[in-house]
Amino acid sequence: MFDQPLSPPPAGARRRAFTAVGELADVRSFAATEARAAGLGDRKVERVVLAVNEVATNAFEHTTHGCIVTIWTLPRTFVCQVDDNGRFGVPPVRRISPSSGRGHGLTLVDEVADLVRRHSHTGGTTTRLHFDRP
Amino acid sequence: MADPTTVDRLLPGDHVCWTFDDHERHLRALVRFLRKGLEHHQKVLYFTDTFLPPAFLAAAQAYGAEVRQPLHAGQLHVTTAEESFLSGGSFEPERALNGWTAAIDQARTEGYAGLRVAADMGWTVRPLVDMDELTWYEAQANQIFSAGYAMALCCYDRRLFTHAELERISAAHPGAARAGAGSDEEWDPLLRIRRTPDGLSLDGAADRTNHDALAAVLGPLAAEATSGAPVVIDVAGLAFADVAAARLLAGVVAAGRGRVLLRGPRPALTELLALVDSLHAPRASRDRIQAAEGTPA
Repeated sequence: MFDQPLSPPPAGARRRAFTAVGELADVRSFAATEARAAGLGDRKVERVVLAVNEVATNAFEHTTHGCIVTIWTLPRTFVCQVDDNGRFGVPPVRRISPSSGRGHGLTLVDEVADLVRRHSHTGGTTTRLHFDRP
Repeated sequence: MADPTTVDRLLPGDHVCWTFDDHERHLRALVRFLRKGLEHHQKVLYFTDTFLPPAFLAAAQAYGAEVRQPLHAGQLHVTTAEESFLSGGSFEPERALNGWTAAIDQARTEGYAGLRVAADMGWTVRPLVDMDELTWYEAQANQIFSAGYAMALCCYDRRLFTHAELERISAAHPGAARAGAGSDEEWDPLLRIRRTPDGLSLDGAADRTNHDALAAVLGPLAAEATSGAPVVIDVAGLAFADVAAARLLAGVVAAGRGRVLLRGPRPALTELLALVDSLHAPRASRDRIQAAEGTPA
């Protein structure tokens, strides 16, 4: 059930590439704008922003080419996917020790998102965050 | 590089990592910066590693900044970075930090409204400067500048540093003006850290890009609170904190044993702090929080 290939995002998904950690504010702004447009409430938007920021931060810190953030909405779900070019060392979930600061960040992502799916593949790691929407 | 107009956005108390890769625009930014300081009756210091001081002054004059009278009066000082930062033959972070404290005291004594510092940091690539010492120095400097009297523009030539080095250096500053900053939309430092009569205030966002600056300022607060009056960290203006920043805040509050208080956290921060706390707690309390939040299993 872990680390299975994910279905590709739908054709209408919004996508933006970010190359450096200095663009984290842009990552947050992109996620917040899309989450609000999807009708999520303020608190939910903040959780989306927190979760995407953590996954993107991890991508900037541990991989070399930044990340691509892809966002789409389903009837009951807001989906935010972060693709990086690195791989988690040990499947299925963590590349770094949970005792380090960033490990806590990723643990916490699992708590704030309604569902998290990760898949490591030859091109890197895909983290797909699902949030229930009204 | 950062747009020259970004330097207009610095306020007293700011400490900014400002990157450039073009001397013409660097010069324009510096002239704007010093001119505004002179207009506001602030003392202005520029430590150059890019221009010879007389050449810089001549260029500033040509750009319309009246520098002769302020130079004569002692309001403006332009000297080489090497003469100041490396005057002892090597870079000594503690001595440099004491130098800022002394410069602030002197400017106050002389009656200036503030102190405005621009420093070219290209000299740091010399072999006698250690990157760990440099980032430690930049992080510690926040304790001095956050007092709110002085502002510092640390000018880093992107061509002299690797991306990784610049990211480390940037993280020791509350705000960084990177390539493209201020060209499409108005730029402001990501975070403003200020000392207040009862502690500290944080305004803006705290993330990976300014983590080390925040850590350096929060670190000593617990000891300060236990040896003196309680310390209040005003976070009402903290619009975003990542998990690592929340852990720093939780850490200093815990270390303060009831004498470090957070004032005005937004709901998202309150929720995040509870989650951070629960991850340190036994599994049972995590389950309770999950149940309370109504998240699916």
